[in-house]
Amino acid sequence: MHRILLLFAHPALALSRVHAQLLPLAAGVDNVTVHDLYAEYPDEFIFAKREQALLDVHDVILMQFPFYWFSTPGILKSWQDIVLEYGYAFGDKGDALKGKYFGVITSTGGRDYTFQRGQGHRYAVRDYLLPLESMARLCNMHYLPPFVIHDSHRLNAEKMDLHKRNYRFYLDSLSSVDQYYAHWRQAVNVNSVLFSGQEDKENSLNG
Amino acid sequence: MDDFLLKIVIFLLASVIVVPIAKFFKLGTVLGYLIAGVLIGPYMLGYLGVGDQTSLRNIAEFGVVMMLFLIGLELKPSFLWKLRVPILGMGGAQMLLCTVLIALIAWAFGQTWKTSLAIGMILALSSTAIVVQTLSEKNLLGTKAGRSSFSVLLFQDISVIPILAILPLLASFKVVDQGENGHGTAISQWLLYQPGYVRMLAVLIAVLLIITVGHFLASRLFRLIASSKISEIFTATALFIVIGVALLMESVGLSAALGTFLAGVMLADSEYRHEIELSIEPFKGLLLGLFFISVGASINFDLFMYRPWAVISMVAGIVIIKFIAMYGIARLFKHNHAQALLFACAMAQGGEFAFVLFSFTADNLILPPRLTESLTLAVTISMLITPLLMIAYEIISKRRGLSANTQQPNPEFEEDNPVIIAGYGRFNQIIGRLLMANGFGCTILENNPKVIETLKRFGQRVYYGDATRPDLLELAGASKAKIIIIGLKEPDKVNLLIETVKKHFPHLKIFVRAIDRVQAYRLIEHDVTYFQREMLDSSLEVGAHALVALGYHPYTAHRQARIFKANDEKMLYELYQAWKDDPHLERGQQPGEQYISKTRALSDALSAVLRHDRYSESLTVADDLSWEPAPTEEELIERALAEEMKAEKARNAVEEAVAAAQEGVVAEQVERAAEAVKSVVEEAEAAQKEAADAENGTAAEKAEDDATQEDAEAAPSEVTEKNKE
Repeated sequence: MHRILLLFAHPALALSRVHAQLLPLAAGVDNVTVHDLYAEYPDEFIFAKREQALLDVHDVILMQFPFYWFSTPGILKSWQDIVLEYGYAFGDKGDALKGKYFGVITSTGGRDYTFQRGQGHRYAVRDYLLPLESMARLCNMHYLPPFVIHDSHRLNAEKMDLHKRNYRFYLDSLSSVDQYYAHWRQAVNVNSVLFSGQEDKENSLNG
Repeated sequence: MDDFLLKIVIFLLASVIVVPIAKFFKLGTVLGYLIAGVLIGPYMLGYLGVGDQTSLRNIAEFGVVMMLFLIGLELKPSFLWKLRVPILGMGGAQMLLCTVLIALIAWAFGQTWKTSLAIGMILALSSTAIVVQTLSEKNLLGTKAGRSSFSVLLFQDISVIPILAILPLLASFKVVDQGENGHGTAISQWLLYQPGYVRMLAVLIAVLLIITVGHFLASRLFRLIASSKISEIFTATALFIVIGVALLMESVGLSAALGTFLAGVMLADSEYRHEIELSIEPFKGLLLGLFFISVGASINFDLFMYRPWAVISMVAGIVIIKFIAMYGIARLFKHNHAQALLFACAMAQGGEFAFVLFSFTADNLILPPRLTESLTLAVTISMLITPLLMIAYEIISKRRGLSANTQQPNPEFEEDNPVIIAGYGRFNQIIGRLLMANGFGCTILENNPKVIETLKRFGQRVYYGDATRPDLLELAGASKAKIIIIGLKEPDKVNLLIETVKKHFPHLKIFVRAIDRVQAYRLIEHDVTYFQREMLDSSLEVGAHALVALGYHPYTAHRQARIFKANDEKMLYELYQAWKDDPHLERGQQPGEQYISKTRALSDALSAVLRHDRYSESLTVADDLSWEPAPTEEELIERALAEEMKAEKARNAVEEAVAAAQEGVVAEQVERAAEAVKSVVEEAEAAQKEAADAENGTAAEKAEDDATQEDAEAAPSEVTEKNKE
């Protein structure tokens, strides 16, 4: 059983349509530690040692956040800058994260097809998250394709229910991520490989 | 003795049975006691003899005295000063109007003008005990009408003195002073035969004595007593002050209640106020109950049966006239209809002073004894009617929706706000503003009238009161609120309030401002929801700006301040562990030493902090590894060197320690060696002198001299070698 650390960042949870509903689900999973960064560090002053200690006892590191300006909210960038120290996460003797899995759960406001390559936003979410992918690689972590929920401005209860079920399914399937990783790693997002046959199987990595 | 105990048992039993029943039927405790008194009195069950109730009332009147003392304790002098208009204006007008009206009616019934005036003055007084107790029980004492009632009663207490002076002048016959001689202290007897100015002087001296003693000495006395740590002695001291003041005042002819009230006001600023209150409170409650019972028991049913209509018409006269007069006065002094109604209902009765004054007039043949008997009975019955009037008032006001008396002038905490703020000094004001800006209602408790005044001017509602009282917290809606924010100045009060909240309102989340480190330890001990040391954040803010001025980048400075804060907070908990084992500031420590020991505890805490700072090596910019890029080659070498130096240092330290351990052995050798050196040097010096004496010494002598010098140099090196071993 892998232990999962969910680094959660939403600076205005009161306005959230998606994440506020997902968060209680994650909290309900036994092997998931929900770590709400904006709640832990309201003034964005992050304790590196504490975060490193958390990282040490988990095998799968997830970042969950709304896709602001094609990137993470600020605190997640600060988190990388502060926590992933030289000598800890990379560089000389910096192998604390080696072999762990790293993945992203995010939500966008655009329709799914606008994030197809060459379409409206021209790149897929996975492409926009390239810095995180490289970060994972530099730290010798296995990078998981992002779990993406599109179209968050036009969600109804029915669609949200589906997303919630998928979200929970994804978290559960991470328990045996070793098995799936080879199959997943190339996908443009995890949704397309996990829920093939469902509505958003739009992208596969081929371009 | 057995008889006395038996009577006490009867009293207690009667109150235990009747008062809860009265309370259950919402009649109030006052009526309960009165009914209990009637029941066990000589005319119903007859457990009390006819003479008993007066002797018991002498003791019971101390209940009234203590009640006024306690009221005084709650009123600071500055607050009392604010009440001067209602006290003098309303009180004076009330006395005048009631006296005139009642006297006129008595005159109309064929009394002489002198008798009429005496009756008028005596019946104009209302019962402090009944009014204050009833109003406070119904939480109406804080309303405008309640405050006015209290002011008027205070004026009445004062006016007993001139009444006592005037009454003898109204005697139809020559006043026989001997009637008074039966009781009283030696001073009072002596005073009786003194001319007026001597009495006046005695009164002045007594009042001044109370003020000076209360203001300057009592606090010190209590501090001294508290340092003995014997709680019953503290109670004894409080009782001593109350009873002593009462006796002093009575012996100079002033009302004891007034004197103790004054003493209470003088002690209102004292830090022992709360403890004094706690120690007097139970006596007051019991004795007041006893007083009401004795009033109930003294209702003379034989007399009533003998002349029922006369008594009934007297009672009706007293109640109706006073009711109308009180209502008129209240309207005159800008009370609205509902407030005036409450005021009139509360005050329409004869007072306990009437008993004293009637017996005085009877003794001095000012009034015919038969008349005073009937009037005393009428006054007693009018007291019994007051609780009924109050019940009637409640019913009427409820039916007509006349809640104005509780809502308009000083609403009794009707809002159920989620936040209670205890103490509204500078610290909590900012908190309150933040919360209210976010739309959360705050009920503010503050006992500094100045602050209340200022805030009221800006339309903010603040309530006067001591937040440590559970009943006040209940009134402020503590059972419905979610959190309480504590910003009281005195650490002892903060502790008391936290204990009270935890005991009575365990659901409340407690937020506290800590004044200093020692208090912070206390708060850790109390396990409050959140506390913050008041200076920490603002000091660090200024410190960070100072770092910027010293050349730090603003963000680095900010970060250093935050790192420092995190470290300091961690250390707070570490040092708390040490403090816990050896708290300098024990609870209930002698207050005399408290200040010294407090500063000592603080400076101890500070030196522990400074020590800690010196040894924690992660507070400089260099230790903050975040954003640090991969080191260059040079830096790696530097780092290795630094590490090597550190290791070297450590090694040296170990060697030193080992050497120190051997010191015992080595010191001897060193001493011996040092002596050897000394003797050699002395020899050399002697030789030099010889050489100088000889003038132009030979080469051989010079060689010898060199040799000795070499010896001298060799000796210390030998010593160091030995040392190394």
